[in-house]
Amino acid sequence: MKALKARDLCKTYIVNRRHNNVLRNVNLEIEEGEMVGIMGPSGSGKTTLLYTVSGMDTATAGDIEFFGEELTKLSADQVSDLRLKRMGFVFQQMYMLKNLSIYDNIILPAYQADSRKEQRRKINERAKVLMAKLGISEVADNDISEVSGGQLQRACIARSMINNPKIIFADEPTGALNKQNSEEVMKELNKLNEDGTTIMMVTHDVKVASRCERVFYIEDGNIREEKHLGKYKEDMARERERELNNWLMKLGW
Amino acid sequence: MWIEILKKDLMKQKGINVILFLFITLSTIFLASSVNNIYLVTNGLNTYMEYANVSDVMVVFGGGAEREQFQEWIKSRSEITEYDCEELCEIKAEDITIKQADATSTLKTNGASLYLASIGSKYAKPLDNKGNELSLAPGEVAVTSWMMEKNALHIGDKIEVYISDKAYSYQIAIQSRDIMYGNEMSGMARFIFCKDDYNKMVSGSTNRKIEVYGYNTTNPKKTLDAMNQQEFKFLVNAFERSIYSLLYVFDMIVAALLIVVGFCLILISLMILKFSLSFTMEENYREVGVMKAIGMRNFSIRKIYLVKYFALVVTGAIVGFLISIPFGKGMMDSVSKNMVLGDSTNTAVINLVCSIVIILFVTGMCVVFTGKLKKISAIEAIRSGDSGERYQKRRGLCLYKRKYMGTISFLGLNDILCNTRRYLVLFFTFCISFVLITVPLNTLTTMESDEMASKFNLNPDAAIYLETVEEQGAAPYHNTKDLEHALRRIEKEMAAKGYTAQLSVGALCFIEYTINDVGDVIKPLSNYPIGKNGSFCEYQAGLAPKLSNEVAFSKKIMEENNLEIGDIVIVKIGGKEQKLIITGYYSDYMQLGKSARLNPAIDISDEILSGYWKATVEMETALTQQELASVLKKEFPQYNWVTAQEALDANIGSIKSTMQILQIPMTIMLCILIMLISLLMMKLFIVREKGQLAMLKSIGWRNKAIRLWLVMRMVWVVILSMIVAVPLSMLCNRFVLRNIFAIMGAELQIQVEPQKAYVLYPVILLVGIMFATYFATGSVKRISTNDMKIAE
Repeated sequence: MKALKARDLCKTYIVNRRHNNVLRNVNLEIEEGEMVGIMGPSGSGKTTLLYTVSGMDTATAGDIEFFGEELTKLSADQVSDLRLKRMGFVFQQMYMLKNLSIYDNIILPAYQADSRKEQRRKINERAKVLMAKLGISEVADNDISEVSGGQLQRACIARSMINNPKIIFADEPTGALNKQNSEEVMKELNKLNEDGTTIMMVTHDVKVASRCERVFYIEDGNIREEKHLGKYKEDMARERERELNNWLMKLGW
Repeated sequence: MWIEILKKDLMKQKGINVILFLFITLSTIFLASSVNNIYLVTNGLNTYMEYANVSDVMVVFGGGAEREQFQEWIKSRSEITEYDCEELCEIKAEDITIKQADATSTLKTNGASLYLASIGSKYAKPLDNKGNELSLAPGEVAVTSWMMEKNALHIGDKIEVYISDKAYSYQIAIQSRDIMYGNEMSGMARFIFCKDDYNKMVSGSTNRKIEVYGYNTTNPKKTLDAMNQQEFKFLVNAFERSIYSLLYVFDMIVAALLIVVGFCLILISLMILKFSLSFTMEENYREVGVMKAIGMRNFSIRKIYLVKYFALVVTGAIVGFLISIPFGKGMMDSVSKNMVLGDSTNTAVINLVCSIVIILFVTGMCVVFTGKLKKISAIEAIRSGDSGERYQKRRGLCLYKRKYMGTISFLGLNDILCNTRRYLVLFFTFCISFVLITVPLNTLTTMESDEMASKFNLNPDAAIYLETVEEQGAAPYHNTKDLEHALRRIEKEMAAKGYTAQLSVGALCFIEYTINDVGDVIKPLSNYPIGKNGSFCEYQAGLAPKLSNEVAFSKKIMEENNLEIGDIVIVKIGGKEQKLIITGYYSDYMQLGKSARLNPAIDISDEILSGYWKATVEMETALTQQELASVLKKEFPQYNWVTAQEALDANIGSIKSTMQILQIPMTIMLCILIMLISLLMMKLFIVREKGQLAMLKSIGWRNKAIRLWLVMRMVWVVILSMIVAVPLSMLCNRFVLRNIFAIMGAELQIQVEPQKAYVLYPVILLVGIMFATYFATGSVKRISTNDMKIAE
């Protein structure tokens, strides 16, 4: 089943009466369980594409289908519900509520989605499992200012996973992390993908993108080419990276 | 160049600049108008006396028989610098008819003595509401405020005066402010005409004329003592300037409340201003950091902000100054209809000074803030003043531990606990506003209470009261024998119609007491009980005087003269001296809490009474005072039957109505004020927290949920502030309101209607704040995921 389908997607910003066409008739399809990377030069429309297909931003024209559901026909509240319960988000900057502990930040979307008392116990159990899986159990009660960038990004991943989303949208998830933390975060995303979660990720990092099954190259608001790398295997990491690098160089990146 | 930078900055940070501008404007309005009003009210009575030209001593003669003797005596006194005499003509209420468009009615007077007078008096001049001397054309009359209110009279209505079998018609042209006769407490009222009209009516009439002398003296006490020794037979009363504080003492409650409101508004405005300034300045930290990072000098950076805030504060202060003049005037107009408190327009210089203070305050804060720029590094500024290190644990709550709290409620409360300082200003504002709302409310409740009635020596349990006991058409009684006969007469009249009642009354006269061996003398108004049960009084200590050698004093007299129960005083009645023992003390409103109570066995039949207090009627009845009053009014229409509350209203009714008129607009004004503050503060929070709100939106929070979260914060602040405000209001009752009432002489318990004060009004405030906050959160809809970049 198609997790995401975009047809003739356009996004135009009007700044000082000037039309800026950021996305121009973008067409893309992502299968359920796939891990897809979006690459391209700065200002090419990568983040706009991610935000538009996830319903965070509205499309100027075109259709978006999310697991068969027409996203553009839903009301703002329905799209919000969809994002809360069936989508997960990881951003470059680890945005979290600063007045809450790491643990509370993680469980917040789940409590908001379903705050019944009996459900809360299940949410807490799930949060603990997720945190253990991501190796951040020991920082559960810490403030967001008391943990490292890597831990914070893993906490963001845990938050994005708390409602068992069908898909995770990640915008430069390793952009603010060092090499070691980047590795850790990507490992977790690969594990989630192996468990069946669809992932759509924007990145500048070839190493990070090489972990994806498919990579789209976007330029001037349109998908110029796509590269199929197949499922990620740890032992093939170097070859995949080299192959992707060569492809990108060919595209003039 | 500065104008260019300023223009760009003002546009770029439009939201925050507009909010700051509004806060500066509001602060200027409140500070300027409040300081101005406090100044005018504090000097209120003095200003009024100045406008009315009150003489050092006023002397009332019950006729012109001793005119020459008195004037001779005045001329012989070297300390009297100047004097003047004014004639007034006594008139009965039934001789004045009100002619309004649709009906004709007789005048309601609450038992006050009525007089006709003419303009042109030198002392205690009647004025218009602006403090100008009256100017009346023939056919016009000026009527005092309380008389107009009591009879629902309006400018343009007509009255008819019947005198010497002739009717004279006049149109009401002015609502006068009459310092001596314009207050219910004085028990007098006068209708003022032009000289020709007055002479036309009065010349040849048989109505009693009184002569009111006013004189200025270098030694009022010495002159009064000398005058008393002359033993003028027709001298009814003589009093010094200080008597006016007795007449206007209840008006001063409203004035005192205005001072309290003024101080609170100043406090709120300065608090809000300081907070919004530091809050908006913090907003600029990041920008300052960037400027430092690219190498701009501290002074250059400081100049940008100083110019910006100076432009904002000057504009705000000018607008605030212009609005503060009509605003302050509006507040003053509602203070008292009985007094001329001065025109706030004339004291605009105070408003101007306050506006300059605001400019200096804001500029000073900006200088202090920008001064900090020297100390912090560029990176600290970029991190919004946070060095990145944290030495304290977050003070918030844990979501997973709150099993019974919804996510939104939790977030609201948690935000307040984590950012206590941020919400303190709102917390204090709500607290103060609530206290300010409850103060007039509790004042009114107290004024309408049995407690208040008892301090006016009115027994709420008595069957009914009689306003006057004179026969229809008879002159006021001035000795105890007449009063006693009157009581017995009324008892008989009632018995004839099947009502068995016992009447009693408190006769009032000034009696001289020598209170110690040194020979110190006091001459308080003394209450002499006539009738079986005497007049009602609650004693704080000891017992009521019963035997012929007993007396009681008010607590104030006891304290001021170091008297104790059991002490002996010497009383001089009818030229004879008698020793009296003090049996108890009490606290009431008679003569500002300075009075005496004589025993019923003593003989004061030769003394001329100043008057008498309401006659108490005691009888077996199942009816309430209200019901009995309407029954007796039908049976005995010649008498004025009143309930304890109506009798109370006769004394403080106009102040009560002023308070009632003042309370609703004041509550509305405070509600609007705190709604406006809540709205602006919420807008400020949204500007600062845009990033976090955008993040919540991106992870699927609906607009409605985010708005509810923001509203919940305010709800929590209101709830927490009410928890503190209720006991604070009680403390205010105990230590402020009680003391205000105590100025008038009596110690009384402040009465509170808990459902109204502690449930209804907090709920009104809460709803108002919720509405304002929800309205302010409308901008959440416009926050997009792009705003995450400006996360705090």
